[in-house]
Amino acid sequence: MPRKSDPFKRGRWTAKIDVQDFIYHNYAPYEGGPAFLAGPTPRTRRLWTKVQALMREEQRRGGVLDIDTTVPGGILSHGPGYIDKRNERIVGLQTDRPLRRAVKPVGGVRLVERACEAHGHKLDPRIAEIYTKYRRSHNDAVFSVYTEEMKRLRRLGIITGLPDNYARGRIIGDYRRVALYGIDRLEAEKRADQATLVNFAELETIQLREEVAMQLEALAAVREMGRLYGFDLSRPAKDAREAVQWLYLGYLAAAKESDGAAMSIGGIAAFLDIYIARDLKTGRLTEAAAQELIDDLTIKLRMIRQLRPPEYDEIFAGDPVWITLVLGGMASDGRTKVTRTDFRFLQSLRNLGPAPEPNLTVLYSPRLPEKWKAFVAETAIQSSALQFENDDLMRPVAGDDYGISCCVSLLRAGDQIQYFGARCNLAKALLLAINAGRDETGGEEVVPGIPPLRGKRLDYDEVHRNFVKVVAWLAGQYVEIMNVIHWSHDKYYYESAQMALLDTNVDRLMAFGLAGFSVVVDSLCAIRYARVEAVRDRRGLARRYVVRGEYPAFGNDDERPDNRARDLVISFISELRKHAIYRHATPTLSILTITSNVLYGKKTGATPDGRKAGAPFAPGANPMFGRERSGVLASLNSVAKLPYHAAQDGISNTFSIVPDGLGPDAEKRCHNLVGILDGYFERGGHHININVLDRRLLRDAMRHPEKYPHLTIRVSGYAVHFTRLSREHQQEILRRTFHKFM
Amino acid sequence: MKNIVGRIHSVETLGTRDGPALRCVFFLAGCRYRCRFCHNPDTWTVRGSKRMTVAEARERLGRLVPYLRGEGGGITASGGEPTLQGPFVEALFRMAHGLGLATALDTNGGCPPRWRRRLLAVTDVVLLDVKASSPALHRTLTGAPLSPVLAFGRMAAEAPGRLTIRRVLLPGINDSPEELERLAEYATSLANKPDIELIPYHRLGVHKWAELGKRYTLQGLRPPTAATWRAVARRLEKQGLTVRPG
Repeated sequence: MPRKSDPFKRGRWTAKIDVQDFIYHNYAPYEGGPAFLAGPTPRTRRLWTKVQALMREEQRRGGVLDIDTTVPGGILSHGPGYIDKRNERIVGLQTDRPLRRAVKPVGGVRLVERACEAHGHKLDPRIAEIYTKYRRSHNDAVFSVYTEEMKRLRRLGIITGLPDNYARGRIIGDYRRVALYGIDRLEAEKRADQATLVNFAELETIQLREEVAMQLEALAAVREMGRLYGFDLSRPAKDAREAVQWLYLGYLAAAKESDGAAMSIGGIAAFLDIYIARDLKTGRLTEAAAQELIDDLTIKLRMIRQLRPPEYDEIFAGDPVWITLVLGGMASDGRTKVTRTDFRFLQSLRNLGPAPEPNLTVLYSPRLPEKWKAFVAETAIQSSALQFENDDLMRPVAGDDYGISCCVSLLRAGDQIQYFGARCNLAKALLLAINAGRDETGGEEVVPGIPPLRGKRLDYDEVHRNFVKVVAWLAGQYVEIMNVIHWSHDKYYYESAQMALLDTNVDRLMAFGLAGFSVVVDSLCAIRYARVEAVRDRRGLARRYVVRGEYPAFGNDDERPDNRARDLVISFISELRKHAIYRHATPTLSILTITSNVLYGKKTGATPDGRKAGAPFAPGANPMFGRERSGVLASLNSVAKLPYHAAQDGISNTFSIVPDGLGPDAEKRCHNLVGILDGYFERGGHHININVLDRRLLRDAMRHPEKYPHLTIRVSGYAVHFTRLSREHQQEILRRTFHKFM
Repeated sequence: MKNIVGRIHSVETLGTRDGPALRCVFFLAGCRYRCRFCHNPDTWTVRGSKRMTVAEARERLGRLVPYLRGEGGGITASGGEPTLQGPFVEALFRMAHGLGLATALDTNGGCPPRWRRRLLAVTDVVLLDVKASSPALHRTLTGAPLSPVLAFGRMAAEAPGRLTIRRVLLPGINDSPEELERLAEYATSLANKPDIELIPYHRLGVHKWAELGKRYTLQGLRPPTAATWRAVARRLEKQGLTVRPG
């Protein structure tokens, strides 16, 4: 008979909705090592084997196992689904069957039709009819508002990857609220908020009031979904299993309702640890059973699927959902936030084998407990499935309770959202400056008032003057495009389930982004320090560039390129700040290109740094391949210098190394990796992916994908299964700098 | 001090194999040995090298301190043969100590005698390549005599924990029982017993010989198998030495 558990320590959280406060008063920091962890139970193994078989079948069918083409997805669109009901500790699937995808036509019905066709299915004609004749979609709305100029910028890939034909995602519902408070309490709070929204002369008030109404509907639906699975979500979770289950059902509701490009789950480890620790203390739970809960949650998160059109796959390789889950970090009062459950999430990588989802992200500080650092380093080396972000940079901005949206973007838990804004191809902006405001591929005039350059040799001052003008004009257009998209998305594709689990009056960020960053820095340096001649065609467009002499390149800890890099970031955000933004959102900036650096490169002409037309960009803020001459740390230092205050949506860096390069034996490799992380984050670096792999292994994986079903590679902010990448992406990974030694 | 100029072949900021923990490795240009298995023949002369003052090195190193200062990490002078640039290395190491970094000297032992004491005074770790242990083989492999190498090692071992002996394992060439016997005998005769770093021969530098128009005379030589490496390591361990992979 388990003992009765102690009540939670009370605090602000008891009077108001405040999960941070609950954690702060109740969690137990853990500074020990991994010895307590439990391996997979036979039950976990059996369940996971079943899921793996389904995943193999999915792979065999070209990446999609099944689609329900008859019912549009929603919180209550599908009844309960199970893998193996009796053996699941945590339950809940997006549809009635595992890995079966739902259609979400409110984003745009034509895209759903195409996605179905690409996988050998046909969308139910009734759905097509409803969403063509009777219900406007987000996609329709955006395009009916876009100006010709906006459409041109989009078509030419200058501002690109926009969430106008897919769901924006990036919002992180505070799913912990379901477990801590139960739906009834959350509902009551929302009703109280709604009652204050009565100033009907303001459109914004009406809009918010309607949104809260939708949130209330979503909360009721989540409660009903719980009931169908046999749970009473109206009340708070009573024990660890319920806490994991309640939280997961909150996330599941979001994943059923929306197919956002990235739907992170936030920081849940310390929260869940409070419940687990309590149950362990009273004997309700053993360590093996506690690990089962985390393993089962991990399995569930690995099964989240969205139906994507083919062009989406082209941009975001590997069928990602970006269920980013943050671990570790420090509390504001100096304690570590690491708990035993942070260890348990890493243990799931061992128990189930590494995989990209959930996207495990370690919030790093040199002050973290040494044993935790050693464990994460070891896990990173073994699995290549971890990324690291600088807790010491982000905590002062957001406090000690925040999540990472998508790969690198900071969001305070519970009261902040972001409007995702894809990116501007900065390399194309530079080419517009060189080609009198005309597109480098077809000659179409894009930016008005840019004078042609004189002479064959590019003059730095002249190019730079034009570039500043282009950037200023583009930033203005970029803001307006975002304003259109997010007005439409709020109106036609509102994320009720996620927003219901956030404060009613949220702080809004609008996240802009840059691609082709290091190409531009190097191009400017080439023009300034070497001799660059443009070879122009009959129309006067620069088709290629002849570079004579050497120039200092980004990635060598050299102040000349690094200062230009800093200037680019600060100048761009300054331009964005000049414009009025939808719902008073604050602009932020990212240098992050996931896998799309390949696609953007393909669509971009030759650049003055010597890059050939169509060649890939470096990912994120990475220096261009092969231009680092002084080894890894110099390269890391260049990226670490980029000012986070000007790019708070994140600065992504991908670091690949062969195991030998990290040290002669396993223990030294761990030590050295910790040294690299300590140094990089102390230097002010924001984010880093660690890939420890060797070229031979990757070559072999390209030839024999079946041998490496679990080979996970980090590509700028994200981990993907290597075998799920296209040939082109695979080759690009091979080409990436492998830091070799003398 | 600050204006002393070194001839630098290159700088590798992430050194993980040349001394403890993480190190910034300065590869100095110029070497008098002509080792047949050399993987850096491009560092034999100062041709194509860069000039770097100690002040410039300090600027570079200063930005790397957060990575390097943990667990005995720091700076390594390698090459080429660093001891041929005694004044520069001495000043470089003093500067590194000023930044709180440990210093390592990766040397073939051919240090000019008058620089031995001065360099050892600023060196925390000596990685001494003893390429062969019989004088004749040493001369055949390197073109240089063995006795100065052993003398330098003897001096380096006067401080506890300072000396590590490196041996590039060339299968069938410097791994005979007699060679290993001599190596162990030398190592155990020193004031403080050094660890042995047994580095498997590799062929990653062979292409450089062709690029420099030089003939590589060990064409047929292949890297040791793991079994060979272990057998050699065991033989040395039997003599009471600690052996680690390099």
